[in-house]
Amino acid sequence: MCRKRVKALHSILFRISVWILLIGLTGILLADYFVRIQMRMQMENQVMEELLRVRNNCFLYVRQALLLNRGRLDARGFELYADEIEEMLKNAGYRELFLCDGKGALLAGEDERFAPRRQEVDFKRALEGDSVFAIRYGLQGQCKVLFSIPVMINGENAGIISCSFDYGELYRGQQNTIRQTTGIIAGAFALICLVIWLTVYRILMPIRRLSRGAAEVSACLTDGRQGSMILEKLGFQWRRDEIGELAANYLEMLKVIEDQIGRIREDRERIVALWNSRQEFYNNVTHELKTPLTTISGYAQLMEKNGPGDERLFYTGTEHILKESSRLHRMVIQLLELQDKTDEMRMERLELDELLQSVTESMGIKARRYENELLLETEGEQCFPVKGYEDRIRQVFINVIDNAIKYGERGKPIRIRLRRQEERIFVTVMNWGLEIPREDREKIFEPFYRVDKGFFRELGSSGLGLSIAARIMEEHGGHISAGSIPEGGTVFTVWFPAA
Amino acid sequence: MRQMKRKACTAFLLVILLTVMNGCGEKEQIRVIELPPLELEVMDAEKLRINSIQEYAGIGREDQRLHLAWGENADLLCLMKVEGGSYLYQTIDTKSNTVVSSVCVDERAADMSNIAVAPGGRYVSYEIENGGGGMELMIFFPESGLRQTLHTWEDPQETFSYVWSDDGTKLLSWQNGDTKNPYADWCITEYHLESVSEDTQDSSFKGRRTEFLMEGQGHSWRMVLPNADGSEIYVREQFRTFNDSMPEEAVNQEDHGRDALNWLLTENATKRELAEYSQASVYPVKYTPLGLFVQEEDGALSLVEEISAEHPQKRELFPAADGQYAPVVCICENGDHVFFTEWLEDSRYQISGVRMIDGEPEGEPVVLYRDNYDSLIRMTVWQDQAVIFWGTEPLDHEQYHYKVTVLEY
Repeated sequence: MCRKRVKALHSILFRISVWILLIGLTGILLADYFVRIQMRMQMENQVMEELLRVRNNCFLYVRQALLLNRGRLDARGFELYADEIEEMLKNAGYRELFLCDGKGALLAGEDERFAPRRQEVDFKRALEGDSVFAIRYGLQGQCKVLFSIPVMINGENAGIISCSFDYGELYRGQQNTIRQTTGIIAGAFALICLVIWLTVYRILMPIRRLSRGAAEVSACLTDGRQGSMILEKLGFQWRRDEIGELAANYLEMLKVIEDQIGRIREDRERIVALWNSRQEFYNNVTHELKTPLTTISGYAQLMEKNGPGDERLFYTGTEHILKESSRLHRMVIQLLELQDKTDEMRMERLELDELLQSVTESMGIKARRYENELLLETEGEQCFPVKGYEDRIRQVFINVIDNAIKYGERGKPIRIRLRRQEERIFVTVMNWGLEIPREDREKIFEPFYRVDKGFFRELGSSGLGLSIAARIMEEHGGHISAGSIPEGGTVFTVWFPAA
Repeated sequence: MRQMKRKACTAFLLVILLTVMNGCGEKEQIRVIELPPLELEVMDAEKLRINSIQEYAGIGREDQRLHLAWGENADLLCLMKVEGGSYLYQTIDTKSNTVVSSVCVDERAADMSNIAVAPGGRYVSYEIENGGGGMELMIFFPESGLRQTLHTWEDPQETFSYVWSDDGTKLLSWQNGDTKNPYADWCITEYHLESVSEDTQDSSFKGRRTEFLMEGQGHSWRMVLPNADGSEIYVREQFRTFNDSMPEEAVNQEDHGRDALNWLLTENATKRELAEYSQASVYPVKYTPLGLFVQEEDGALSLVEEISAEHPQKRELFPAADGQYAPVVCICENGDHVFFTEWLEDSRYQISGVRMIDGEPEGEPVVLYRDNYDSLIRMTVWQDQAVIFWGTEPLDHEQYHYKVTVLEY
């Protein structure tokens, strides 16, 4: 909770909101301040203009009153006809009038009201010969103007006319105008701020949702699930603005990551399988190498123990040692063959029917030894051209046919069929006898894999023939597979790409 | 560095906020402002100065039909009023407020109309019904009490206008242009009153008269302005203005395309047509040696110099008034002093004036006098020495208070 609050305080939206609020508030206050200053200046200018007229009128009325009364146009005349001047000024609409002589002594007006009036700054300045007015602004919208005029007649300060004016109505009107203006400005600022805030919000919200989406994607990837759907659901990638570009790029990056993760997972599984296969291979190699060596070692030790006197053991032991060492030699040769690679450059065009005929003839002797017969059948076309290395292909057929002879039921023929189907040439070798279990049909092509280890070893098999055949077929772009026939028996199918 | 910037920014904002908040609140304060120095104002006022002010006030009634003029002496007021069915002519000494003389102009005051007292008060002209359905233009000589008939006409629907020359010796009469037959020829007649012998007893005018025959050309305003001694008479016939005030069907088609006609008539009975000088309607105010002063409809005052030239030029002297009403203009006979009467708020008016030097006003008009009166009846300049005006203020029972003011400059 605490972390969330800190995060919110540092969010861009919060900071921009605070700035908008501050700028808006400052703007409103500044606008209000300048409006007030402007209005006050306007009012003071207006008052000044009116007071200039008042001053001119006062001079006019003073002169008019003195001329009408045929009085002297000087301080004495002003003193003598102060009451007439006051009356004239009152008729002209001036209120709270005081007429004083040049030294500030009251000539006309009410004495008790004049006493405080003479303390005012405008009156004091008028005594010095300056025309000054003082504007008093009150808290409740009062505005009173105090004005004292030094009356100049023929360049002489004949006296002072002091009056006051109530500008409260004008001032209150201006205050209302200021309030309304401030209200309008505040409203306008609020609207502008709201629009800015909404714009920023609209800009930041997709980023925030992308961020949350990224967090969910991260969780998905950790769990091994696909996460790009989460981002796709947001739909930002269809936008044409920068957010859309960001989302599209982000989504593309995520797909690359997911693809890479998938590859890494597949590679890892492959490596594990390879590791397991290799371990089994080494176990098999070790086991297959150890068995003849044990026999050889056993007979050698026994012959050493019995000495040259045991002639029977000598011949029997020598036979077993030769037999096992011969098997060991063959096994090593086949292991080397398993590692050999066919050079594609040396492949040549072969007629598969001819090659198969040759192999069948040479393997016919061994088949007869197992009381079997090899039957070669060719379907359709007379020629079955393939591209390959003759010795290696011959090795495939020998291994497969040898396998059929060894594990085929005695007295039953082994059928070898050659046919072409579209761009592939198929060779099937079928023998009657034991079936290979379904679960072992793939594994029999692994080195040293045996369906029944004891039985097959007794037949003198090294366990590498089918592995070599599978490897050669792979090199020639073909394939070898094992199957069974319903009546009981095994069928090996080999196909080559036609040349 | 970043921290420093932040601190500076915060401080700046705080200063602005404090300053603004200090200025935004309503608070009690006093502002003292000084007006421009007085000396300049005093100097402006020196341009035209009133040296004395005289006032004469009295009470009149509606049925007295007062007419006022100023005598040859600045303190002498000439007053005409109806009393007991007769029109009396009185001279009043305004200083002592006493009636110096009182004579009966005519006993049939009810039949009298168009009364005009000559400047100086030596003659009074008036129209009177002659009993036979016709009208007579009469002249009355207050000093001798003599009455003479200047002109008689039978159709009372034919109306005339009259104007006195500034020296009060010549009376001009002419038929109005909006009367019965505007296409009939009309006549401007100048009566030379000084040519009448002082001891004559003739009842009809035997003195010199000059007649200027004019061609009637349709409905028009006819304005006749003599110069100070009546030796030259400016005449303007304005058609378009007249037509503008009439309903469309009443406008004579022949008048279209012609705004005004101007003539200058001289003492030796010559009549010369003048070129037009204004695109808009104007009202001639005064014909002086400086030229012809005319007032525009918006109140602007202009001067047409060299009115007899081929292309006389009108030059604006004072722009149009700011107020609702155009000021009333009064110009002295020489044309070197111009006075304005302007109405202010609350029935107050002010008289302002300006001196003309070589046809140019000497600055802005200076306010000379201010008073509050209900209506100002007439203003005149007396011998280029004083502005005389009189106004009235209604009282109860059809009575009114009148006041004549003389501003001597």
